[in-house]
Amino acid sequence: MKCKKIEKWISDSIDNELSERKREQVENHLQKCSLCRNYKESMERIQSTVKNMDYGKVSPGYWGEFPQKIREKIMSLEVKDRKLRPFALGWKWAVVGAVLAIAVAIGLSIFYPRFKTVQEVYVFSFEDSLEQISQEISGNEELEDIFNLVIMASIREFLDEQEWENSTYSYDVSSFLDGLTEEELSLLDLEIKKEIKS
Amino acid sequence: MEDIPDDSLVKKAKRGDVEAFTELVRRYQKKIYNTIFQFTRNHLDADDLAQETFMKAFKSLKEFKQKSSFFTWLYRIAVNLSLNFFKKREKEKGRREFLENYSSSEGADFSPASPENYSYKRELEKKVKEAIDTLPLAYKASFILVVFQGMTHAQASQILRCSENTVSWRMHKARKILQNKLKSYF
Repeated sequence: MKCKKIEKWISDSIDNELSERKREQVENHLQKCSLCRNYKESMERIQSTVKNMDYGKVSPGYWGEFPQKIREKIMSLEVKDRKLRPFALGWKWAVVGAVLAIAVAIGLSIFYPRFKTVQEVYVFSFEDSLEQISQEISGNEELEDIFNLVIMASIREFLDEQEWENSTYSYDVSSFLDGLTEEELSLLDLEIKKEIKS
Repeated sequence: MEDIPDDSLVKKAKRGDVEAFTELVRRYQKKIYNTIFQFTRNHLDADDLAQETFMKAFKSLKEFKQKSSFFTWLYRIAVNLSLNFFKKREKEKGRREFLENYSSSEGADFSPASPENYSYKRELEKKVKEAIDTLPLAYKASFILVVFQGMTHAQASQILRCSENTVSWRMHKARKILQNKLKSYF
């Protein structure tokens, strides 16, 4: 059993999310592998420290006053202000996807022209969609950053200020794709595939 | 009012019953505040964001279809506001200055066993908090909900609108980052 897989399971185990079968496999592995044993102990010490850290406390009267503050704020609201549309991305991904597929292609060719000379234009053709592209550029931090930046910029351009403020996308371009839900990633993938066909 | 289930209170609040909504505030204020506080690490901002969370919830109540629990929906608002708070904060200040402000604004009202322990504990906690602050936001949000709020991966995934596997993966990645940054301490 590979240690990388065990490390992931150790994390699940700390969160009490590991099945009995996997737990046994982890235990068996730990008996043989001192590196993973040390890793587990280190993880448990960090977890314990984080949970026992002191964060200061609010004054005892705070919890009694807080609901009253909210109540007063609500009472002072004007009726017309009570309607507020929630942020709903939904159908807009279809348009965003089309825009970003083009934007990525243009962006990469502008920001990273020398890549073309090394690997022709294979990466930028989206022949095998998002997953393929991600794998191709994996490990090349500069290219990953550009790729994420262009996708984020295209979405930023499409959304209005209110929607952008309400969105939860990571400001850190290197982790932007990590911040997307699986549903959003699938939609991106789908739109890029459509773009390839056309 | 205390015995009324959330769903009934939500229905009443949707019809404009402020007392019903105030009861919901009473029920969830601590959990919401404590979650937000893990993001902001200072009480002033946590108070502002907690108020904003409940006000936004009230204003958006008519849009709440009750497909998820009120608690999950409320948490989602709180987490989104906290993440946006971070984005704005990052724009306004340099990263270093930001961390310095964090570490200087924390409460310190525990009683240390000895000056040496006190000093070491303070130093260790500072390093741990700094390491947590460097986590990518998506990882940090999962970490806060699972570790600080004691949620299962399933509960966190509902709030963050992703799969349980994604939460599990982010927890693993977050821990790897923390271990890497704190290896001289643990």
